[in-house]
Amino acid sequence: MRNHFIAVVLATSLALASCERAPAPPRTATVLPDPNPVPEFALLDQHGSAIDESVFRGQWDLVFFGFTHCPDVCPTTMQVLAAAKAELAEQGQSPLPRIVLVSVDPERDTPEIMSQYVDYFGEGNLGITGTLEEIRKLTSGLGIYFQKQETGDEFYSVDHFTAVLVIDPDGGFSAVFGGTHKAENFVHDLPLLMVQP
Amino acid sequence: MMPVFTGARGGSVTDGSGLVAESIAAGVFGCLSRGGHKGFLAALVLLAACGAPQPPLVASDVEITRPIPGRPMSAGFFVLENNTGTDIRITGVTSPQFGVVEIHETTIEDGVSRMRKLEALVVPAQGSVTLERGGKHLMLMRGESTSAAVSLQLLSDGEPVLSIEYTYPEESE
Repeated sequence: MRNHFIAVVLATSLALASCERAPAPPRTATVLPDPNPVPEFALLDQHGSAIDESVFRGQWDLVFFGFTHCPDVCPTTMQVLAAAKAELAEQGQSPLPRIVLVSVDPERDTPEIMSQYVDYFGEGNLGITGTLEEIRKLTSGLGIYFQKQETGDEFYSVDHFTAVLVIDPDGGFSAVFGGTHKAENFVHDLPLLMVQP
Repeated sequence: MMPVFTGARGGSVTDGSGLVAESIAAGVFGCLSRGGHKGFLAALVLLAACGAPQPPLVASDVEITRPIPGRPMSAGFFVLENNTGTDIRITGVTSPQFGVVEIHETTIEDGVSRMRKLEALVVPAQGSVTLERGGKHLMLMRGESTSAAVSLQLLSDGEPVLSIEYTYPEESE
């Protein structure tokens, strides 16, 4: 009887210890069961240099798909990502993620414009633009929707997904933040997500 | 033509056009006339009872985003309050600092952001409408990124109904 009691206590203690070691789940992000490799593409960074899918290897990336003529959702999202990165730096998070903006309006978003735009939200950000065809290769492979809305003038808009994708250092799309973006959600979830796969 | 009132950040109303001051004077005169000349105290009581005249349209919580370098555009957000008994339709907006100002609405549905131009912004009688991020807003284009302040004139069928003066806050280091 006494041995049975000890066994129960030990089992309970082990179970509790196991619970304590289990990492907390992400609060907002949805984690993909298996990372989805970034598809092949040939585009330009904000300096006009040719880049391909290998640009997503070697660091954690937060990737947003938007356009610089977007007055509302895009700058707000970029601001949220920049604030989250600053807070993570304050907390000593290492490594820090890179913020990436992929233009869904390559017609207007030249490398020069992308450079001014992404630099405004902090150092080390990456802006990607290029031909519409190559942008489509990247977005289609990641399940990102966007569609230009013709207005007949220069003030057209572009419908686009607002999700922020997490790309791991192996170039795999591993998690996604949907809904309304808040810096606190990124600050909470990213340290949990940014573990080497 | 509706009197033009000038709203500043936070919704305070000034007499930028002079019409507010005229309206207040008329209200005071009306109160005094009805109260007769039986003393200054009585006039004060009547003044309090009559209250200050309300402007027909008031803007508050004004925010205009600072243009990002190289991008001659920004967005305008504020609350419009209609103190009249009639709907007010804002059909146009002009600004000396921006070549084009349009009323837009952003909707986010199923994770997709869509922005569309609105032909008019209706402020309901005795009601309000909010221009906010992720919703209705002003789209200001072809702007001067060096401007420290922005003036907006809201129009209803070509007639000015409200002027808004906004000064960008100091940039933090």
